[in-house]
Amino acid sequence: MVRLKSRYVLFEVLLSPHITNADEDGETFTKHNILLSHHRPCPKEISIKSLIQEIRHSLQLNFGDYGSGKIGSLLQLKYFSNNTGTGIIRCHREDVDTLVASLMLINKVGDIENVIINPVKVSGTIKKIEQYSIRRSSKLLSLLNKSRKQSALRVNLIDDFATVEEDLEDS
Amino acid sequence: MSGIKKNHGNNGGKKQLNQNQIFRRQKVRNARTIRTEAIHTSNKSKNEQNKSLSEDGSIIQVDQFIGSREFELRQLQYAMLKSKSSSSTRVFQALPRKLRRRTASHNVKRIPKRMRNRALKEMLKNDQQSNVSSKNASTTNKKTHGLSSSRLYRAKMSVKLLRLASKSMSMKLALPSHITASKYNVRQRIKYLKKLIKESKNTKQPTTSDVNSGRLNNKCGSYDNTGINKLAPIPRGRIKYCKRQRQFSWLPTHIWNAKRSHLIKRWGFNIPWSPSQKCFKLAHRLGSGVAASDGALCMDTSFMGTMIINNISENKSLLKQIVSRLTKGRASLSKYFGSKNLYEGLIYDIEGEESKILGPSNILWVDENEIILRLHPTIYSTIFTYLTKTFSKELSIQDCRYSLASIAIRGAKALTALSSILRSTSNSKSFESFKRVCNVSDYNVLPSKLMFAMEVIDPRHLSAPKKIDNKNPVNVEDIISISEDQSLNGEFSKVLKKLTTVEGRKQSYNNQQTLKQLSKRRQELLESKTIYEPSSQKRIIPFNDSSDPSVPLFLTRRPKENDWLLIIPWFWHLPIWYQLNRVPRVYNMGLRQVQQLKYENKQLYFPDDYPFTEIGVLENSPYKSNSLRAKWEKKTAGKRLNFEKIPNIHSNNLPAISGEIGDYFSCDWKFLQLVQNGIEYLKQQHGGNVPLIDEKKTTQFDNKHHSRMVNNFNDLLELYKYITDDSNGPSVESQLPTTPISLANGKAVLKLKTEQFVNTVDITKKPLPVTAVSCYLVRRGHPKDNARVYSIPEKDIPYWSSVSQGIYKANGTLNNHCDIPLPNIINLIGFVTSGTFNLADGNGRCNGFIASKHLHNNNSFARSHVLIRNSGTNIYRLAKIETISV
Repeated sequence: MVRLKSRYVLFEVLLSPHITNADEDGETFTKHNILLSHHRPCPKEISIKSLIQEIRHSLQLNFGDYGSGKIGSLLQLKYFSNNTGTGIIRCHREDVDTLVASLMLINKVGDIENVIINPVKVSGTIKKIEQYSIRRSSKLLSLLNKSRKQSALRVNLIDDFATVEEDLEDS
Repeated sequence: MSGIKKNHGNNGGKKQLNQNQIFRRQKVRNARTIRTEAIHTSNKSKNEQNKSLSEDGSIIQVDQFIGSREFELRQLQYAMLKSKSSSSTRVFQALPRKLRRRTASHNVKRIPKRMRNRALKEMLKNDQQSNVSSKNASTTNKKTHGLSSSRLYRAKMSVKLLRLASKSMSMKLALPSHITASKYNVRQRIKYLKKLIKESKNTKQPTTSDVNSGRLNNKCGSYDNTGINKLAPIPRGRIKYCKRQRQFSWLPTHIWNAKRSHLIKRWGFNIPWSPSQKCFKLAHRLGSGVAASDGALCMDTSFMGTMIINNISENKSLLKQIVSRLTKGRASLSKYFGSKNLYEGLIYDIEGEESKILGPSNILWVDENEIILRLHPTIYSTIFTYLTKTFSKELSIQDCRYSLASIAIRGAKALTALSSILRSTSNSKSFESFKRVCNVSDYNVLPSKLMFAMEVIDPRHLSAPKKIDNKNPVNVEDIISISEDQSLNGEFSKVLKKLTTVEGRKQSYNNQQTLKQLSKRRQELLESKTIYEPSSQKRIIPFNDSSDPSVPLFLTRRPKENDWLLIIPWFWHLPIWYQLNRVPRVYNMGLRQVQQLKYENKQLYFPDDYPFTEIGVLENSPYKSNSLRAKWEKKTAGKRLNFEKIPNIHSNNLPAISGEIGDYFSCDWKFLQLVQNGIEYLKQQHGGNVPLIDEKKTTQFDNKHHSRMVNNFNDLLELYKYITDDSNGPSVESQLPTTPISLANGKAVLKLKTEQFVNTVDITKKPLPVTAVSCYLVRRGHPKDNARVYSIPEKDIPYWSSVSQGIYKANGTLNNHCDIPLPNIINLIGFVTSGTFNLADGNGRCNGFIASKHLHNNNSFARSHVLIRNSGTNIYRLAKIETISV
């Protein structure tokens, strides 16, 4: 018996940058500010239903009836979390390239404009996708913590310099 | 047909699912969904979200970001676990390997108690018939035939015998004619049954020897089976199983091991060969003395024969003299005789004129007139019969093969595991010191001589193994004080006396209790709760000094073997074994693991790595080579390796030989002896040169010695072919010594003299001195058993020394594909007895033997390196050698 071969695609939904707030130092375009503004939680309007609808629409638009019919036969959104904007789609093994292309061509979901859907990883099993996603988000978290620490360190360094100067004067 | 059509119509061609299938499908679906976090209130709608962002700034956003991502992380991890566990539908599939049983799917008794209810439910759901459908089923079905197992067996046997009597013509003819068949049958039956009953009555009392006669002193049927000045008979098992033990007797743990290990029938015993579960890495990790060891490996070594020799003559130094002769003066040194260290070394056959090495042995001096001698079963009877025959008046020898059992245990937690099952009967100094060191996991800190002899209570008194809490960690003073009172006096000798005498062992079985009796006592204790008050005494049946048996046991460290040896009376082995294997991280092992660990520690394993002994030769050549050959011959001619047609093995081809040399499936020591002795002979004949072949002449015969003349190397190979050819009759082979090689160990290598060879008979008769070496492959590849060892030819030394440094490509990586110069056939110096990939080194390593002459080589590189080629291949690997002392 031949097994149905499928592929899983990990993607993230990036919203348009929205930097209105500044850092404590007054800098707006810091690394972690850009990161945060892209990874804002998705609004309620982006849901599993609307995403699937939008993907099908994009397939129809870009690949015609044949493309949408072929790919749409086995298209499942396995997981989507609004708060993190990550999701997992399942499709047929042959169609994964077309699907990724159609994801790339989406720029709005429902009423929300300027949306980028970023396909991150393709894998044959959902387990590996999950493992990758875990690795990726823990990396993101550590990056965030690091940039926070760095800003704190910068303040300390400035303080240090002041003390050093004083010492020199004393000696 | 119409019904099926109807169904199709109703369901749109889909298969109809029953309730159970729907439930299961739903369960899988539930398991596969990944939960998402509820949408934050702040971003419920687009407008609100924008507002909150502009107001709150980054701090809240970061927390949210982190929080939601952590939630997702957890959920994804959980989803992976959930989908894994949901796929196992039956409860026993979730069990770890160690607890899985073949029959668990239909026999709930094979599943741990805590899971039985669920298992029963699952069986009912699958409409599976369980043989334990209700709890009282076992009680109602208990006695359907109304006979106990032994009686049933007896009845069946009598029927068989009656049938035989009626069928056998000769028996019928022997009867007087006036006895009719019907009459005869009845009388015969009564006669037989009476006889059987009579016999069974007799066998209930031990008749093995005079000392053993008398009634049993316990309900378990334990008795002391010792042969005094003669070999003890094979122990009687249960009647049902006695037929299978006639040739190969069972160890005490046979039934336990039969469920968990592969057994082999060898040396008169059924010995565990290897656990059924894969354990190559486990054995390395736990037993090889590495830091990663966090458990213990134990093995039932009761197949090793123990004999106790007492000197009963006037001559007080007689025993010392005998032991000195048996071990070539080693075991009678004051280290062993005076300080009573355990001797681990070779034992010799002193029956003939020149002493031959028999194999390894363990000797312990109990006092100056008594020793405990432990031997491998293959050499046991040789020594035993020799001693009983020659010293029948002077020595009293007990054959304790079936009256003393032993456990070998190794690994970091060996002492901890033992301490959690052993409890002393009374205040014991030895037990106190045992308790003090029991948590030491690195035995190198302990003195090399460390022995404990104590009397312990029946280990079954503990309901489960319990660790001894050591409040004070062991320190240097403790270890020094323990090593100081290691003299075998006082309590030590008292316990050893009980272990080494028939009366003592018999006394230890006095009132040995059955499991039923013990559980009854435990039940009584549970009911009267007052006794259970102190928490330390919890779950242990208190020891009753007057009625309960006490077990004498002896525990010693074996520094060479790197393990601990526990010696106990035969019938106390099983209770200890059961409890020991309940300790976590204690695993059983078999002979294969012992061999593996020996190999990893660069030691020789008897008998496989002892080709200089008779037993080792037999093991190598007929036993192992036959089984390998049979395996090879089973394959069709096209699929199997054609050893004769392997090209490019040697740098020059001789007409006498093609392809692989010697016997393909074993270490051909005879071949090595001929090659090495022959080269020496040819050198002496031709002034230092070895002529390979003379094109003008074929082999000539020497009329004076009635043998082939050896004028060049090719003649030597022809001689080998002649000797090993069976069609020339066995007489040629039988004239030769059984061991074509002899061991040259330590200093003997340096003192080695070159032998003088007068004629060709000398070549086949003089044993070749060999030395045990451990070879470490410098580069890739791993050696296999029976690999061939070559010395490096003088002209190739520059090439091979560059290989040992590493030949690199231009991009800095190792070049593994060079054209290698081939050695000549006259460079053959030895064989590999055991080799594989060594986990301890992370590289190929092998133990083998090479001609001792090689160690006299002048070039230091050529002396310390050899080439190794696996049998049936033409690839040579460079290896560094180090000698092993036997």
